[in-house]
Amino acid sequence: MTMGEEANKASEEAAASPGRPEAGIPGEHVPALDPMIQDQLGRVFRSFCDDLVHQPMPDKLLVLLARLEAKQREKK
Amino acid sequence: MSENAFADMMVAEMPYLRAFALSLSGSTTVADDLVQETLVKAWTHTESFALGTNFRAWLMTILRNTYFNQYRKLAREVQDSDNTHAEQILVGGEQESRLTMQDVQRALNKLPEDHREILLMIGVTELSYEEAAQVCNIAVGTVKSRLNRARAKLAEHLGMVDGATNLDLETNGPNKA
Repeated sequence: MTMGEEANKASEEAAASPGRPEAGIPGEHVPALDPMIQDQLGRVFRSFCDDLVHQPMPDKLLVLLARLEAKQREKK
Repeated sequence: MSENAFADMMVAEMPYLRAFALSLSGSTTVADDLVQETLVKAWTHTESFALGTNFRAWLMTILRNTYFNQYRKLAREVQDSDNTHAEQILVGGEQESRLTMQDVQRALNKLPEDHREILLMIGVTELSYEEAAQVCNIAVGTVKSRLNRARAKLAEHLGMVDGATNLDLETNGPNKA
Protein backbone atom coordinates (compact mmCIF):
# COMPACT_ATOMS: atom_id res chain seq x y z
CA MET A 1 0.00 0.00 0.00
CA THR A 2 1.30 3.47 -0.85
CA MET A 3 1.39 6.30 1.63
CA GLY A 4 -1.41 8.03 -0.25
CA GLU A 5 -3.69 5.02 0.01
CA GLU A 6 -2.86 4.73 3.67
CA ALA A 7 -3.85 8.34 4.22
CA ASN A 8 -7.07 7.89 2.25
CA LYS A 9 -8.02 4.92 4.36
CA ALA A 10 -7.37 6.88 7.51
CA SER A 11 -9.53 9.77 6.37
CA GLU A 12 -12.30 7.41 5.32
CA GLU A 13 -12.30 5.94 8.79
CA ALA A 14 -12.28 9.39 10.33
CA ALA A 15 -15.24 10.38 8.19
CA ALA A 16 -17.12 7.31 9.31
CA SER A 17 -16.74 8.32 12.92
CA PRO A 18 -16.78 12.09 13.20
CA GLY A 19 -14.52 13.59 15.81
CA ARG A 20 -12.60 10.37 16.29
CA PRO A 21 -9.59 10.04 14.07
CA GLU A 22 -8.54 6.42 13.91
CA ALA A 23 -4.79 6.64 14.10
CA GLY A 24 -3.28 6.85 17.53
CA ILE A 25 -3.07 5.18 20.85
CA PRO A 26 -5.70 2.58 21.71
CA GLY A 27 -8.15 3.95 24.19
CA GLU A 28 -7.35 7.50 23.24
CA HIS A 29 -10.67 8.18 21.57
CA VAL A 30 -12.89 5.56 23.11
CA PRO A 31 -13.09 5.98 26.85
CA ALA A 32 -11.33 3.04 28.46
CA LEU A 33 -13.45 0.50 30.25
CA ASP A 34 -13.28 0.46 34.00
CA PRO A 35 -10.46 -1.98 34.93
CA MET A 36 -12.84 -4.21 36.88
CA ILE A 37 -15.23 -4.46 33.95
CA GLN A 38 -12.28 -5.00 31.63
CA ASP A 39 -11.15 -7.92 33.80
CA GLN A 40 -14.61 -9.41 33.91
CA LEU A 41 -15.10 -9.03 30.17
CA GLY A 42 -11.63 -10.45 29.56
CA ARG A 43 -12.36 -13.60 31.57
CA VAL A 44 -15.78 -14.15 30.03
CA PHE A 45 -14.53 -13.60 26.48
CA ARG A 46 -11.40 -15.73 27.02
CA SER A 47 -13.51 -18.60 28.24
CA PHE A 48 -15.92 -18.15 25.31
CA CYS A 49 -13.01 -18.29 22.84
CA ASP A 50 -11.46 -21.37 24.50
CA ASP A 51 -14.75 -23.20 24.33
CA LEU A 52 -15.12 -22.39 20.65
CA VAL A 53 -11.63 -23.56 19.76
CA HIS A 54 -12.21 -26.83 21.61
CA GLN A 55 -15.47 -27.71 19.89
CA PRO A 56 -15.30 -31.19 18.34
CA MET A 57 -14.37 -31.10 14.65
CA PRO A 58 -17.23 -32.34 12.45
CA ASP A 59 -16.47 -35.57 10.54
CA LYS A 60 -17.42 -33.85 7.32
CA LEU A 61 -14.34 -31.60 7.58
CA LEU A 62 -11.97 -34.37 8.61
CA VAL A 63 -13.15 -36.51 5.71
CA LEU A 64 -12.63 -33.62 3.31
CA LEU A 65 -9.10 -33.10 4.55
CA ALA A 66 -8.30 -36.79 4.11
CA ARG A 67 -9.71 -36.66 0.57
CA LEU A 68 -7.59 -33.64 -0.32
CA GLU A 69 -4.50 -35.39 0.99
CA ALA A 70 -5.26 -38.57 -0.96
CA LYS A 71 -5.81 -36.61 -4.15
CA GLN A 72 -2.48 -34.91 -3.70
CA ARG A 73 -0.72 -38.26 -3.27
CA GLU A 74 -2.33 -39.68 -6.42
CA LYS A 75 -0.97 -36.81 -8.46
CA LYS A 76 2.60 -37.73 -7.60
CA MET B 1 7.10 -27.75 1.48
CA SER B 2 5.93 -31.38 1.37
CA GLU B 3 2.22 -32.19 1.18
CA ASN B 4 2.47 -33.99 4.49
CA ALA B 5 3.83 -30.92 6.22
CA PHE B 6 1.10 -28.87 4.63
CA ALA B 7 -1.59 -31.31 5.76
CA ASP B 8 -0.23 -31.34 9.31
CA MET B 9 -0.23 -27.58 9.46
CA MET B 10 -3.76 -27.52 8.14
CA VAL B 11 -4.99 -29.98 10.76
CA ALA B 12 -3.42 -27.86 13.48
CA GLU B 13 -5.14 -24.71 12.23
CA MET B 14 -8.60 -26.14 11.64
CA PRO B 15 -9.94 -25.64 15.18
CA TYR B 16 -9.04 -21.95 15.01
CA LEU B 17 -10.54 -21.47 11.57
CA ARG B 18 -13.74 -23.17 12.58
CA ALA B 19 -13.99 -21.28 15.88
CA PHE B 20 -13.60 -18.01 14.03
CA ALA B 21 -16.12 -19.04 11.37
CA LEU B 22 -18.64 -20.17 14.02
CA SER B 23 -18.54 -16.95 15.90
CA LEU B 24 -18.34 -14.62 12.90
CA SER B 25 -21.31 -16.20 11.16
CA GLY B 26 -23.25 -17.26 14.25
CA SER B 27 -24.23 -20.46 12.43
CA THR B 28 -22.76 -23.98 12.44
CA THR B 29 -24.04 -24.69 8.93
CA VAL B 30 -22.46 -21.59 7.47
CA ALA B 31 -19.26 -22.09 9.48
CA ASP B 32 -18.76 -25.65 8.24
CA ASP B 33 -19.39 -24.72 4.61
CA LEU B 34 -17.04 -21.79 5.00
CA VAL B 35 -14.25 -23.87 6.50
CA GLN B 36 -14.76 -26.53 3.86
CA GLU B 37 -14.41 -24.00 1.08
CA THR B 38 -11.37 -22.46 2.77
CA LEU B 39 -9.66 -25.86 2.95
CA VAL B 40 -10.26 -26.55 -0.72
CA LYS B 41 -9.05 -23.11 -1.78
CA ALA B 42 -5.97 -23.31 0.44
CA TRP B 43 -5.15 -26.74 -0.92
CA THR B 44 -5.43 -25.64 -4.52
CA HIS B 45 -3.35 -22.50 -3.91
CA THR B 46 -0.55 -23.89 -1.79
CA GLU B 47 1.98 -22.21 -4.07
CA SER B 48 0.65 -18.77 -3.07
CA PHE B 49 1.62 -19.34 0.56
CA ALA B 50 4.98 -17.68 1.21
CA LEU B 51 7.14 -19.76 3.52
CA GLY B 52 8.22 -17.90 6.60
CA THR B 53 4.96 -15.96 6.80
CA ASN B 54 2.18 -16.78 9.20
CA PHE B 55 0.19 -19.76 7.97
CA ARG B 56 -2.83 -18.98 10.11
CA ALA B 57 -2.99 -15.40 8.82
CA TRP B 58 -2.81 -16.72 5.26
CA LEU B 59 -5.70 -19.13 5.88
CA MET B 60 -7.67 -16.42 7.65
CA THR B 61 -7.32 -14.16 4.62
CA ILE B 62 -8.83 -16.88 2.42
CA LEU B 63 -11.60 -17.58 4.91
CA ARG B 64 -12.47 -13.94 5.44
CA ASN B 65 -12.60 -13.15 1.71
CA THR B 66 -14.76 -16.22 1.11
CA TYR B 67 -17.11 -15.15 3.90
CA PHE B 68 -17.56 -11.60 2.70
CA ASN B 69 -17.93 -12.62 -0.94
CA GLN B 70 -20.22 -15.60 -0.55
CA TYR B 71 -21.58 -16.27 2.90
CA ARG B 72 -22.28 -13.03 4.70
CA LYS B 73 -25.83 -12.69 3.39
CA LEU B 74 -26.68 -16.30 4.17
CA ALA B 75 -25.24 -15.95 7.66
CA ARG B 76 -27.55 -13.03 8.39
CA GLU B 77 -30.54 -15.09 7.35
CA VAL B 78 -29.78 -18.17 9.43
CA GLN B 79 -28.12 -16.57 12.45
CA ASP B 80 -31.13 -16.77 14.72
CA SER B 81 -32.48 -20.14 13.73
CA ASP B 82 -29.18 -22.02 13.69
CA ASN B 83 -27.40 -21.24 16.90
CA THR B 84 -23.80 -22.27 17.41
CA HIS B 85 -24.35 -22.83 21.11
CA ALA B 86 -27.45 -24.87 21.64
CA GLU B 87 -26.51 -25.88 25.14
CA GLN B 88 -26.78 -23.46 28.00
CA ILE B 89 -23.16 -23.67 29.08
CA LEU B 90 -22.06 -20.99 31.50
CA VAL B 91 -18.94 -19.12 30.49
CA GLY B 92 -16.07 -19.30 32.94
CA GLY B 93 -17.91 -21.68 35.24
CA GLU B 94 -20.49 -20.92 37.91
CA GLN B 95 -18.48 -18.49 39.95
CA GLU B 96 -17.74 -16.08 37.15
CA SER B 97 -21.13 -15.00 35.96
CA ARG B 98 -24.53 -16.25 34.98
CA LEU B 99 -23.72 -15.65 31.34
CA THR B 100 -24.01 -18.53 28.88
CA MET B 101 -22.04 -19.08 25.68
CA GLN B 102 -25.23 -18.22 23.87
CA ASP B 103 -25.48 -14.88 25.67
CA VAL B 104 -21.97 -13.99 24.51
CA GLN B 105 -22.70 -15.05 20.92
CA ARG B 106 -25.89 -12.99 20.90
CA ALA B 107 -23.99 -9.97 22.17
CA LEU B 108 -21.35 -10.52 19.48
CA ASN B 109 -24.04 -10.71 16.79
CA LYS B 110 -25.10 -7.19 17.73
CA LEU B 111 -21.67 -5.73 16.98
CA PRO B 112 -20.96 -4.27 13.54
CA GLU B 113 -19.32 -6.99 11.46
CA ASP B 114 -16.07 -5.10 10.95
CA HIS B 115 -15.70 -4.73 14.72
CA ARG B 116 -16.73 -8.30 15.47
CA GLU B 117 -14.21 -9.78 13.06
CA ILE B 118 -11.34 -7.85 14.68
CA LEU B 119 -12.36 -8.90 18.17
CA LEU B 120 -12.49 -12.54 17.03
CA MET B 121 -9.23 -12.42 15.07
CA ILE B 122 -7.43 -11.22 18.17
CA GLY B 123 -9.38 -13.28 20.72
CA VAL B 124 -10.17 -16.53 18.92
CA THR B 125 -7.46 -16.92 16.31
CA GLU B 126 -4.84 -15.04 18.34
CA LEU B 127 -3.49 -13.03 15.45
CA SER B 128 -1.29 -10.06 16.31
CA TYR B 129 -2.57 -6.54 15.60
CA GLU B 130 -0.23 -6.42 12.63
CA GLU B 131 -1.49 -9.72 11.21
CA ALA B 132 -5.13 -8.71 11.70
CA ALA B 133 -4.38 -5.43 9.92
CA GLN B 134 -2.89 -7.35 7.00
CA VAL B 135 -5.75 -9.82 6.78
CA CYS B 136 -8.32 -7.00 6.72
CA ASN B 137 -6.13 -4.67 4.66
CA ILE B 138 -6.48 -1.81 7.16
CA ALA B 139 -4.03 0.20 9.27
CA VAL B 140 -2.86 -1.16 12.64
CA GLY B 141 -4.31 1.94 14.33
CA THR B 142 -7.71 1.03 12.87
CA VAL B 143 -7.43 -2.48 14.28
CA LYS B 144 -6.73 -1.06 17.72
CA SER B 145 -9.56 1.43 17.69
CA ARG B 146 -12.07 -1.12 16.35
CA LEU B 147 -10.97 -3.52 19.04
CA ASN B 148 -11.53 -0.93 21.75
CA ARG B 149 -14.97 -0.07 20.50
CA ALA B 150 -15.88 -3.71 20.08
CA ARG B 151 -14.87 -4.46 23.67
CA ALA B 152 -16.77 -1.47 25.03
CA LYS B 153 -19.91 -2.45 23.10
CA LEU B 154 -19.62 -6.10 24.05
CA ALA B 155 -19.40 -5.17 27.73
CA GLU B 156 -22.49 -3.05 27.26
CA HIS B 157 -24.45 -5.75 25.45
CA LEU B 158 -23.53 -8.20 28.19
CA GLY B 159 -24.92 -5.83 30.78
CA MET B 160 -21.56 -5.24 32.43
CA VAL B 161 -21.75 -1.46 32.15
CA ASP B 162 -24.69 0.84 32.20
CA GLY B 163 -25.02 2.48 28.81
CA ALA B 164 -24.52 6.02 30.05
CA THR B 165 -21.15 5.96 31.73
CA ASN B 166 -18.40 4.44 29.66
CA LEU B 167 -19.49 4.47 26.12
CA ASP B 168 -18.99 6.71 23.22
CA LEU B 169 -21.95 7.60 21.01
CA GLU B 170 -24.51 6.86 23.69
CA THR B 171 -24.12 9.55 26.26
CA ASN B 172 -27.79 9.36 27.14
CA GLY B 173 -28.34 5.65 26.90
CA PRO B 174 -30.78 3.92 29.21
CA ASN B 175 -29.46 2.77 32.53
CA LYS B 176 -29.45 -0.99 32.42
CA ALA B 177 -27.85 -1.63 35.78
